Formats: sequence, structure tokens, C-alpha cells
Amino acid sequence: MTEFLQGLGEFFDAVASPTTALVRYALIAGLIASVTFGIVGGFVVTRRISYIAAAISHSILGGIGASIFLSRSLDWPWCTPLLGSIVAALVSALVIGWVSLQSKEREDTIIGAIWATGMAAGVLFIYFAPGPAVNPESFIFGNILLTSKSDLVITALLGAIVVAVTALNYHKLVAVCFDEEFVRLRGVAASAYYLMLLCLIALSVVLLVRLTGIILAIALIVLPAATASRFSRRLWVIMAIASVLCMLFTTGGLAFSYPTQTPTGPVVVIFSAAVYGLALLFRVGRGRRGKT
Amino acid sequence: MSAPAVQFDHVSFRYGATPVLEDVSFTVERGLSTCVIGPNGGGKTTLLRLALGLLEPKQGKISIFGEAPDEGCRRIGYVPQAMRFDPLFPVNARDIVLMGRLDRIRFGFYSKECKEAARAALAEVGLEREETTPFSNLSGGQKQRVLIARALATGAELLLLDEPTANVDLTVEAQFLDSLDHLRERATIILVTHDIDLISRLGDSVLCVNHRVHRHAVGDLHGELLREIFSGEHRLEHDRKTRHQHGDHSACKHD
Repeated sequence: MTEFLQGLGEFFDAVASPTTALVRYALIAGLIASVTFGIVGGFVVTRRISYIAAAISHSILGGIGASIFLSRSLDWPWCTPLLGSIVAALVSALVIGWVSLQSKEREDTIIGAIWATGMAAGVLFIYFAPGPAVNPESFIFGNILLTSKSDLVITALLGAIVVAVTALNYHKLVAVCFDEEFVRLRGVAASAYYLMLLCLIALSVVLLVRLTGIILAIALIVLPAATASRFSRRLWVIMAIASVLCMLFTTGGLAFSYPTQTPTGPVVVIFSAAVYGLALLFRVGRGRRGKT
Repeated sequence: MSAPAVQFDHVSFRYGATPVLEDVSFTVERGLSTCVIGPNGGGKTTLLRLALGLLEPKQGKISIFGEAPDEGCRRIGYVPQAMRFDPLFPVNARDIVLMGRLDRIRFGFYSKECKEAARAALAEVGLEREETTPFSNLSGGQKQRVLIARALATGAELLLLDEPTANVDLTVEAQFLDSLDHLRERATIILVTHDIDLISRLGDSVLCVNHRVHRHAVGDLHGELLREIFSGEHRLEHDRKTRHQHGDHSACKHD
């Protein structure tokens, strides 16, 4: 226990120290991205499209693999894994959205197909990429402690895009989530707004994958928002609570994993899941008391 | 002379090879209340969706206030069944009613005028005190009235209601009918229903839809005709109410 507390002290020293920028970058990236996750998570949970977000996150490995393969095979240094992630996430989002709008009954099939194909393509691209071997595990599980200064800038930029687009279109996005048909009847391009929502989710997932990896990405979008939805019935309040929770989980995860030298992403996810579990129990308890 | 609220002129529609509506012609004049009845699968929902411009007829022409449905639908306030919506969706009554002004949002915000229109619409259906009540906390009848308020907030001249009293108990239905009585003075109403009592109370005329459409005066409806139209379905609704009046509540649905 003493060792842990000592380690915790070291974490806060590392955050404050100018010589250990990685910890500070990781913390700042986590805090900035939390706002994005809270906002997008609110839409994902209330619209019940967490499987779409999961499919997008898994498809990202395909984009990462393709970018590594192309940059090495064709000597395209500009073709970075980040660019590959963004392209793969946006294409997946648009394909799922298009299928969903055209023929709703096949949405789950396309989600499953994109999920599996993205992973498979990514592994194959990485396998066939010339040059030194790449371990896909780093992308699958992520590592927030590898956040660089340029990562921080990208995180802030993508986050700002998501926040700005959501703020300007909040009411229309909420309406599309609640009653897409009515929105269409008001002469508003409901399909375009639904696709916009999926693209916002895609950009957020790209951020998440850099922090927690592909497998765990969905947890940080869904769990804080699901926890927040137990305590409020206004979407913007859910988003605000989810953002704060996400900040606490990422900070807590970093603070715990630094002294214990455990992988940060899984620790963050376990924290989120534990709090969600407590929130469920709290509500169940309150419900029972209310009935008696 | 002003164009009728709704005009179907020899309209036919089919899903794939299955014909749903065949050579349908009728007119709904402005200011009248018309009930649409018919058996399940007879084409009532398709008729609504054609009027709203959500489906295109294979043959014939539809006009809404003299305009094509995709233009005229802006003058329609569509009120779907409240039970269709996610009961846990985190919005309150005012948020939903404001959706009726969605096309007037500027720079991401509703104007003061939009908010006033929403407040007035809620007052019109008697829910001014429920403005900030979460959707999930409203009763079935209140939810339905919120959806009517949303339609009113659009400034609709034609209200199109799809089985508004389905799945609500009889007390809630009575409250809902009171609201509707008041709205008849304000807008043309087309109401899809299986409820014979609702027809006799609200309808100026009845459109019987069973692949083809026949218009009847409400007074012309009698048992033999209804049996023909519904093949017994209306009796379920009638029996439910009769049992309720006699103290047997087992058949009543509560929300």
C-alpha cells in the first residue's frame, strides 16, 4: 500500500515535471479526448448504436495495416497509420450508414462484415508489409503513454471538430436520433444528419483507438455515457456527466497504472465498468426502496 | 377556389408484385375531420405514407393543398403512435415539441419565437405544466398529446394521426379525445383508427380502406358494413369497451 501511494506520488511528480513529458501528454490527451467521448457516447447510447461504433473501431486495423503496407511498398511517407485510421473509420461509418438507410434489415450483417473484414485485412496488410515486422498488438490494445506532442495536437484538432460540429447541429442530431421520419418530413436532410453522426462517431473512435486500442475503444464511448444515463434524462446533461466521468476514468487509470506498471487502457476500462456496475446497483437499490 | 387539403386521383401502389392500393380516388376538403378505417394489411399506413410523400405512387396523382406531397408535406403535422418511440430517450416534452420548428433553427439555436410557439402548442393540448417533464415520465396519453403539440408547433394546417388511441387505457383515451375536439376548429384532421367510438365522435366522414377506398358518412356506418370492412376486427375494440363498462378490466391495456 505504501509502495502504491509512493508510486502515486511519483505519477503526480511526473505530470508536473518538465522532463517526463510523455505522462503529461498522456494525461492532457486523455482529458481533451474525454470531452469528445462524452458527447459522442451520449448519442451512441441513446440511439443504441454501440455495435456500429464497435464495428468502426475494429475496421480501423484495416486502415492502419493498409497505410503501413502502402507507405513501405510505394514509399509514401505521408501515408501514416493515423491517416489510414481516419479513412477506414469514415468509410466504414458511411458504408454502415448507407446500408442502414437503404435497407434497414441488413444493418447487422454489414456491421458484422465490416467488423471482421477490417480486422482480417489489417492483419494481412501488416503481415505482407515489407520491412521490419510490425506487432499489431500495439494497435489492438493501444498505449496512451506513447502519446507524442503531435498526437496531442491531432487529438485536440479532431476533438475540436467533433465538438464544433455537434454544437452547431445538436438539435437536429437529437431529432434524427429520436424520430428520423419526422425530421425528413420537416424538409431537413435526415439521412445526411445520420451520416454526419456516424462520421462524428468514427472520428471519436480514431481518437479512442490511439488511447485504449481497438478492442477496448468501445468501452470508453459506451460506459461513461451509460453510467451518466442512469442519473439524468436530458441528453446534454448525460453528455456533460459522461465527459467528466471519462476524465476521471482516464486520470484514475493513468494514476493507477503508472505506479503498478500495468497496461493503462485495460485499467481505464475496468474503472469505467466498475463504476457502471455500481450505478446499476445504485439504481436497482433505489427502485426497490421506491416500491416498498 | 382553394385546393382541397388532400386529393388522391386514381392512385395505385404495390410493394413488389403485391398490390396494396388500387385505383384510389378521394378528396378531403379543408376544415373537415375524416377517419380512415380498414383491416390490417388493407393499405391504411400506405395511404398515410403516400400522403406524406414518404412513398411514391406507381400510378395516379396525389396533391396536398394543391402541391406535390414532397412539397405539401411541410403543411402536414404527422402524429405517429407514441408507443413507437424509445421510452427512455432522454428528452423532455418541450424538446420534442421544439422539433416541430427544426427547419427554422439558425446557427444551431431555436429562436425566441420558436420557443414561444412550442410553449403555445403545449398549452393548446393542456400540457403547459409538463414542459420540462422527461418523455419517459409522461403517461401514454400525455406522450400522444406531446406529439400532437409537436405537429401543431409546425404550424400545420392538416393533422394526420395514426391510431392515436391504440394501446392507451380508456381514461387516457377520454383525455385525448377532449384535446382533439378542440383541435377540430383549428385544422383539417385525418385520423387512422380501429376505434368505432372515436369515429362517431370525431369524424365528418369515413374512408374505408381495403385495397380500394370508399367514402361513407359516419351515420351510414352500420354493423353489416363494418363486418364487411373489418372482418370482425372492430368487434375486438367494441368488446373491450363493453367489458370495461361492465367492470371486467382484464381486456384493457394499460400503459
